[in-house]
Amino acid sequence: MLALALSCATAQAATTGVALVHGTGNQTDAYNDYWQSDMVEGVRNGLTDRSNLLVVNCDFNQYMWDDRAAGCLATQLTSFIQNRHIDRLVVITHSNGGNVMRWILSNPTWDARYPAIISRIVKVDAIAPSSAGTPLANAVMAGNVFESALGWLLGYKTDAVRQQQTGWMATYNQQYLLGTSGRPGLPVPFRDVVGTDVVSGLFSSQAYCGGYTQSVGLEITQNWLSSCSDGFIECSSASAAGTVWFRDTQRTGGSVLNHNQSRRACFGLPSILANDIRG
Amino acid sequence: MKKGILASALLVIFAAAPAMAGTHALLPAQADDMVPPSLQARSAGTRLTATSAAATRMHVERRPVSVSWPLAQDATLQAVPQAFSRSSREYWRDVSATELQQGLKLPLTAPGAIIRLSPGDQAVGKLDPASVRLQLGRQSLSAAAASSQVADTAQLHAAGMDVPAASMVMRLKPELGSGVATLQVASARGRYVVHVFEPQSPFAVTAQGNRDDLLLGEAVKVRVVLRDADRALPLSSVGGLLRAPDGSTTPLSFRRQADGSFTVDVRPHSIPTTPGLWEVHSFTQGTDSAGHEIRRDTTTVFAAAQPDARLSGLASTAVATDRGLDISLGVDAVSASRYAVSAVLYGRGADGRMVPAAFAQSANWLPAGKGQLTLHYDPHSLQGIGAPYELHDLRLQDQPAVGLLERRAVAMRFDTP
Repeated sequence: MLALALSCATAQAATTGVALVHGTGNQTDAYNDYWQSDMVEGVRNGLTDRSNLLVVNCDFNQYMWDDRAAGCLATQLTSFIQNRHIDRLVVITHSNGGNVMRWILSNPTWDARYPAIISRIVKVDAIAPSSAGTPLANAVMAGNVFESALGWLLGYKTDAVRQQQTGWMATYNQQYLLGTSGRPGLPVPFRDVVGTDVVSGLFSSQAYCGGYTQSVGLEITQNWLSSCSDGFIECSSASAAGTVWFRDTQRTGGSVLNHNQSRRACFGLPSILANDIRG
Repeated sequence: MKKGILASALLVIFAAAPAMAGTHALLPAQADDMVPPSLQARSAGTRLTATSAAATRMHVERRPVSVSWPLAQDATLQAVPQAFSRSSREYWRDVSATELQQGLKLPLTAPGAIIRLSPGDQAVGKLDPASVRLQLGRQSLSAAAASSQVADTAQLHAAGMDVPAASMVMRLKPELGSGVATLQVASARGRYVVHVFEPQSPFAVTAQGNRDDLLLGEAVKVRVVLRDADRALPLSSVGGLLRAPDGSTTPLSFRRQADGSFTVDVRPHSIPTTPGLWEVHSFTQGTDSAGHEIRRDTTTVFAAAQPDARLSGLASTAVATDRGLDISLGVDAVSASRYAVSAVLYGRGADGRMVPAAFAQSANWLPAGKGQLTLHYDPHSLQGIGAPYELHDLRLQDQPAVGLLERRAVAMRFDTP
């Protein structure tokens, strides 16, 4: 019987790689458009071989199982692992990127490439994952259905937004995804970073990291969300799958990470991630 | 958990050479299990082939793949899915420019409502907040004066809220209170969606199905309830529609119940090739104790699958050559597809209790007819447990259809492989 027992390579002896997996959107230059250089280069500081970093670019406007989403992610991870001889892979996801990654982890028989990818992953650091969806997706999609039924705004929403409605994620968490309460655990650690609030005061320095325009928008959207949220994802959603690694203020010196700041070099986040890669 | 993962992408099933084998019948299905009573082949138009799946960008794997990994033995697992329920404090209106120019009546049940205006034709451009007026009680104010916060599309998109172009959102100042507001937009053109969200309102509507998955031919009963905090209120009327995964919609007729709630039995007539969930949209109206109108819309979802395969009911267990455990399950299929089985293996732990030990999943392309899929639990998975063993949360899926065909909370009990 050909069954390959895979053991964890130690951090010292193994070739460590990092993959940054973006959230919703069709990215062609996620380095500049999604993460920006300060974030990526800060994370890269955690690598002995600084070349072993992959910034994934896929079409995450699709359902997580779509070949342009999970299939694309599998293709890029497989090439990265093979070309760089990675045997210890740390995956860092943001937002809906956590759902696409969790699709691969939960459905390893979907694609013959998945088991080899999973066998190299030592952990997934899931920043602000929309594991239980977001009421903001409910708000825009419910309106869209109402509008679609009338035939005058058909299809302007992406499948990724549709998928991130709370009802959809609740159903998929029970049917196709693992790692949430009551479901079997994932094959690798899935560690959540949870943003807990939004600060947008004109005179608050916290509001400006990551862009003030974004912070103003987040302050508005938080009205749809519970008191604990990063302006897009409720804390309960961000911590719904896997285990909570940390809530923002526990590691940032008291600063909160709104949903945009948690993909940018704000409040020491790149250093936190770089240190985790070394560990 | 990582350490024990066993993965063989190609040859697990065929290379396994069991040392001993035993045959078993699956336990009788329980009330909450989902088991196809009969099979329905996909018609030529709905059959999922590699070609049609490719058109929707669906990966269709042909190679057998089998994996397993250990689970925390103190994990509390729930093998019966729970139907989703969400309370809604919002509603939507589809209105013409004329209605907005003349003034649109919006019942508000609490201070601090959030109102979104989205034009149907994005070419009409961004709304000027100065042209938007709101009358509430004796006050008639511009949008800016009436709102504690105003955001445009760019700000909302930047925050991740995917509203249509040229949208405008305003949060009303709490001091304006509640009642029937009149929203007037002098510069309105075309059609608009007006979305009203009342986060501070005690009135919420919930729609909940009695199940979250079904097979073609079965129905889900959805119940719609209006509550004032914890107290149920009778609804005046409920309308709605069923949205299929391919976007097609069907009107629904809700029935009034003696307790003031409304119900509808929803039964899909066919399963489209487009994967996704089914949505039941409910548009409700009610009144509070003072006779003031309450409007709420809500959505619930469920999964539906065409039962083109089922477990035969027979299984065999064997000690694998790696000293792990193989459980082979018979599969009856009427359509060729890639099918997957998964299950959690339980065994008696050191303290005598039945504990979860490992999760396994196996998939292969099966032609129509009788086939077999084998779950392989590696030796690491069996450490710390002994007989008797149980197979929990056994599931059969049609992978290209993203369809759950069968699930059994407790499927097998056996003492020796």
